Amino acid sequence: LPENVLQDQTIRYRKKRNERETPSGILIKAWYAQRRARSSINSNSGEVTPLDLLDVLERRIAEVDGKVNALPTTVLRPRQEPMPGR
Amino acid sequence: MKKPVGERGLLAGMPVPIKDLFNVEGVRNTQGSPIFKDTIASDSDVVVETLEHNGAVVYAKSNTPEFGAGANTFNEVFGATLNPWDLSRSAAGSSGGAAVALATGMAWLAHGTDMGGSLRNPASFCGVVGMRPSIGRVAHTPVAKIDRNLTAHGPMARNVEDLALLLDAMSGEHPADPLSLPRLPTPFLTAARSGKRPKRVAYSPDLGITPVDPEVAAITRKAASRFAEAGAIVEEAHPDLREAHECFHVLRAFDFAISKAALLRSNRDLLKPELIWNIEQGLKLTVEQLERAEAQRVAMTARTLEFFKSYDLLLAPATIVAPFPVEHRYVAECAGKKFDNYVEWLGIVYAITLVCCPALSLPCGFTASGLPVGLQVVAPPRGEAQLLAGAKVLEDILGLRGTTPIDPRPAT
Repeated sequence: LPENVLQDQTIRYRKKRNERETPSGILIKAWYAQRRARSSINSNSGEVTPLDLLDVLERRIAEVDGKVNALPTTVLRPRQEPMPGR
Repeated sequence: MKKPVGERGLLAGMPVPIKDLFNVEGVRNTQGSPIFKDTIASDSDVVVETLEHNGAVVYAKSNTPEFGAGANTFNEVFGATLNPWDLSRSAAGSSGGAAVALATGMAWLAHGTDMGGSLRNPASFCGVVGMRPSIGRVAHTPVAKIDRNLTAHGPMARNVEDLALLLDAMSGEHPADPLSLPRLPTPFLTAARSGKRPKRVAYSPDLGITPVDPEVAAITRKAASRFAEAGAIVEEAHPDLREAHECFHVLRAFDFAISKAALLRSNRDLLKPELIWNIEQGLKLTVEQLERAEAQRVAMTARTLEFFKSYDLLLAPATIVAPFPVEHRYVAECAGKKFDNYVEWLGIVYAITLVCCPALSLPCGFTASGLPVGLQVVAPPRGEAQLLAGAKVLEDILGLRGTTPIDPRPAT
């Protein structure tokens, strides 16, 4: 597979987010986990943030995508830090 | 500083991958083609803007066949996407990367598009839900022509409720897309949860136009019959769609000629053979052929509208076969019938595209070898609310919610 990270600067999401608010500023309450994707999100603490979700996905992509090749382009971290296992 | 709940958007920070055919500002958009393998988008498609406005966080691009052509997700840039239920099998396509990401837990929600079943086929092959909405429901950036009404953007998810939520976050009119529809007063998620049951449901294993694998027919028929447990009358019936193959072949070729003829002239050697064939078919079309195809489409749509005066929903297989070996570029034969080209095996979904109906693929069972099978659920044009409500009722009856995500499974 080709290198999966394509941006030279910072993470697109984090850049946008930093323009708007601090990382802890977008808390998603338990109702979110229950209402939005309750079959999928396991939140022991009762609330998850977008960064929590991205961290979960980043780990899962590193674990799985090398076998199925579904998400060849990700924008989770800079080019200089290729995701483990890719 | 925290944003109030009401200002976080419907998705409130939920990560969503975008199909690698559409622009996300600052991110590579290859379209699965060597021609665009290093192209970085300078702006975002309207559908991406809408999603981000509603709280989505775009974190990935999902794999697709070259320019979305064909229902097996492979291309020269990234290679093939494999089916996690059996890694020797196709994930279908063209939204194959999205379906696999959902099935393996690399996404909770995903964006895709559908011309000849590209949201429904991969959902069926991967055991997730994929929905083609009505034309105009999801605004997008017009490319090549305004009235490109064979293709629709739509949501994919692991269950009907999540799918409805994503449709809420994708839908609504946008000034850049003059044919986009306004948002409805009742959210689709509310509609999905309404518990509203269809009174009369039609099932057809083949829509009268295609061969179907007997095992797929048996699984989908059995699932459809379970609507009776919700009090619905279930009958075998379908609208008359006999012109679907000829009509779709012409209109699809026309679409390819409009959007890809310049690429054929400039980069023929970098296009896959199926694309070259499809574009050339379009360039050979006569006005008489287009006139005939449009008349066929009008007639089929009228008959389908009449059909829906008697039935609330139409059910059929979402694919006529179970996942096939990934090295096969497409399905060349089914139940003894050989197909003329790389899209003809998709008649059971593209016939529904032609008659402007919203439709989704719902997981409805597994083959003896453990491969998922999807049931296509169809509602009348702009009937997404009743489609989602009915699909949720059947999803609850079938009890298959929660069968994904899975870890990829080796070839059997």
